[in-house]
Amino acid sequence: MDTKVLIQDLAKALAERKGIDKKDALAFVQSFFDVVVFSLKRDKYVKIKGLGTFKQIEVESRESMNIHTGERFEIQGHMKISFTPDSSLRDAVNKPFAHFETVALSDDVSESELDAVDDQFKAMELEADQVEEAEEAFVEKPEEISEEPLAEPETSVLPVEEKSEEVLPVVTEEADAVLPEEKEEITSEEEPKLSDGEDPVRADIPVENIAAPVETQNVTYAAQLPNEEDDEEDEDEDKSKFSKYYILLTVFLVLASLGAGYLLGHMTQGKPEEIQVILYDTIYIEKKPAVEDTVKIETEPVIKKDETTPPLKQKDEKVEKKTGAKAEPKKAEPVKKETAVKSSNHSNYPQLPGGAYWIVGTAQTYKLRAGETIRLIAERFFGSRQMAPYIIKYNAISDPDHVAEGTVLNIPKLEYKHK
Amino acid sequence: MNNKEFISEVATQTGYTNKSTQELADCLVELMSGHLEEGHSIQVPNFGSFEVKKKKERIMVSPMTQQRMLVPPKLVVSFKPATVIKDKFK
Repeated sequence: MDTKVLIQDLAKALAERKGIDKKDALAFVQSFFDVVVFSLKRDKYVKIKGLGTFKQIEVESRESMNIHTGERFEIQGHMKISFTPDSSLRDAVNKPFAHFETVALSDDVSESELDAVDDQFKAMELEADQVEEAEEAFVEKPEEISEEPLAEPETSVLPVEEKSEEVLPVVTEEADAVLPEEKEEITSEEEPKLSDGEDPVRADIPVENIAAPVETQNVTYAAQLPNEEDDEEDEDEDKSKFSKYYILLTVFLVLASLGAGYLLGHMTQGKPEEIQVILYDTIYIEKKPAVEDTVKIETEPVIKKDETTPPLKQKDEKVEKKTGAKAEPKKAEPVKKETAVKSSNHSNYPQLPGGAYWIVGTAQTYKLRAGETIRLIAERFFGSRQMAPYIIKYNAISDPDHVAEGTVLNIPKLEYKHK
Repeated sequence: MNNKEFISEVATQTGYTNKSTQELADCLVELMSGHLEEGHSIQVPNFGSFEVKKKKERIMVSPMTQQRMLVPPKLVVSFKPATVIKDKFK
């Protein structure tokens, strides 16, 4: 996409096309652009067929302020070269987006509503990212463990069940909170997978539907480790038990996805659409690493039981932290909706890059009246219109030239950076 | 300076006839627009660079009707003059 083309490349292609010497072609290309510059200087404008128009535009001198020191200075008037592409070139370049058309917006959609929708999407993306990160962390853990040599062969399916039940009591209390909708989706998914398996573990499933997602993620991993030992033994003894292992794995996969759905559902209660979207995401993400694990298990079968329990606890702690972290952006969201202009984060104020002042809080709020501009407000509160960028930044105003009457502005509290 | 004058100026400098200059120029412009369509940027020393940039969609208010319009995103060719040229025009 960002390949750079030099005039040498152009000259080479030109020479091939027109059957002229490369040197001549290069000389032609160079004088082509030299003439553009030359005539631009003389006539102020050059029009080239198929390419576009170069124009020389005069920029008047204007006053400005150094945002680092607050000093006022004048920007000298100067010449600017503008280039307007020819319509044929413009259309050719814009071909990928040519199907878009300008749409008239209905008046009842306010900009703040659009912003609110935007924020929602951002929050969702953020969450998905977090889940992904969490997944990555989990995938790495079991691998590290497997490297240490300490084999304890006699492990049956039992510990698996025990562990999953350990999680259970904690969670079942909250079980009733799960949205019925969600359960339906989940059960429909689990049925085909389970149809071929008859396992003791299977009995637990209906109850465990409810397990918190990240918690069950732990269970999956923890469970997989003992499974691996099973597998190891089985391979030695009887290959037919292999299928049993797979059934177990699927069961835990399903459990993991169910759990993930539950936690997300729990967090986003009252927002069914979001739950659905995120639910699918998590399920998709979760299955991947699990499958990778299976492959690893088959190739390097030295896994121990002892290590499996401590990491489980560690992970649980992590999980708690993570769920805490996830809950935060959620809480912040309603605030955003109420006043879309208001920035959401209280501890972290948006800062103006390169500004002479830090934004350290809200000094006061101000309701914009008819005919008032941000620059006027800046002059009133800070004594200079040049301070408007702080208000614009702090209130996250995307279009400072068009701010609706009645907009409530948060006037930032400023602190000089060089004390 | 329009295209015709421009071509004859290039012709006098390079020594080609006006006709063949026009042909060469057309071919050059064609090559350039081909690269730009691919999204490549073209750098010309002592002149500047051409680049394709994506403009985000935006909401515009028609000054005539006060109707709000959603302008779609688009790709545009931008030209950035080289510093040498900028100094020349000061």
